[in-house]
Amino acid sequence: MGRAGSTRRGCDPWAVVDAVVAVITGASVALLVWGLVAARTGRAPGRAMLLSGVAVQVVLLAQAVVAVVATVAGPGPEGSTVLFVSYLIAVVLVLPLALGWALVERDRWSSAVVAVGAFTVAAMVLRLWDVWRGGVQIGGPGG
Amino acid sequence: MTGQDRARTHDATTHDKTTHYKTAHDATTRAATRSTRAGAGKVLVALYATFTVAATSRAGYQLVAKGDEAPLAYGLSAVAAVVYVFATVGLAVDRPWARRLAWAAVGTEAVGVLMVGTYSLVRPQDFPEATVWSDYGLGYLLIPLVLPFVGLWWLRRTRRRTAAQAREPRSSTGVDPREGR
Repeated sequence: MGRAGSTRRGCDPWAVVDAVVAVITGASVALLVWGLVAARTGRAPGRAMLLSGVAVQVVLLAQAVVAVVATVAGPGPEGSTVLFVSYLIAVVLVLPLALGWALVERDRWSSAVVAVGAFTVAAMVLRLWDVWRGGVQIGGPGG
Repeated sequence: MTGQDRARTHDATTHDKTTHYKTAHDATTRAATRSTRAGAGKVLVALYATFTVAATSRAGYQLVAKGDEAPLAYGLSAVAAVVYVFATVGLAVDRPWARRLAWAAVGTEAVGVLMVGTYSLVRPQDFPEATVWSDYGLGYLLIPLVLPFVGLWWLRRTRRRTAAQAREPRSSTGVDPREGR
């Protein structure tokens, strides 16, 4: 799928492709802003916002599948595999929880919850990318 | 069955957790339903849930992967994780005991982030790997520093309404919300 994506590493080009990370991060940030604006203006998350969240989730799942395959079949992440897989599992749970809650209780604050979820996804995907490329410290950058 | 429930409700037996919900649609008593997880509290619960997962997985990973390298930092990670779990439950559940739990947990969190934050800056050698509270939670955009104070403010704010409401009907509950502190 993502084999065409550019990568800085020759050995295992397609598990956490830079382009996919960029797409997920960008989409999450967009969802974050959308949620915040909606919360600010007192609007509950509408169908469009929820579907956008689902779209982000689909990309996340696709990436997770590819990453798991690459970890099992290939050399896996440069950083800790345990850490990588933990992030992988956790990151696909965030949006279903946030969107599910927003669906059940619809008010302006559920828009904010979607924003929190989107922010979490963006942060976690960047961490995932970091671990994939060899970030070992779990304290974020600067370890 | 239903009759009994209703009777109990009118007896102001507010131990009965259904009391709040029965009156939910009455505009004058709406404030009584104001729980820590309603409205803006939702965002707080979402943030606390996020930090519960973050702190728990961090502590779990640290303890499993290299438990004896820096027992202090990893122990503190575990403490932070437990505090976040209790705070999340306390805020998400709408019961008197949960409110007390939330006060205790969020209070501990406030003290914890200040102490660990300061300690990690004074003696960084004890923190080869970060906890959620290291450097006042800088690795998490300082959200861990802000969160407990927002939490305390929110508990106080929701308590006020509940207490004001409790004065109107016969409040023979024995569960004074103010006790939570």
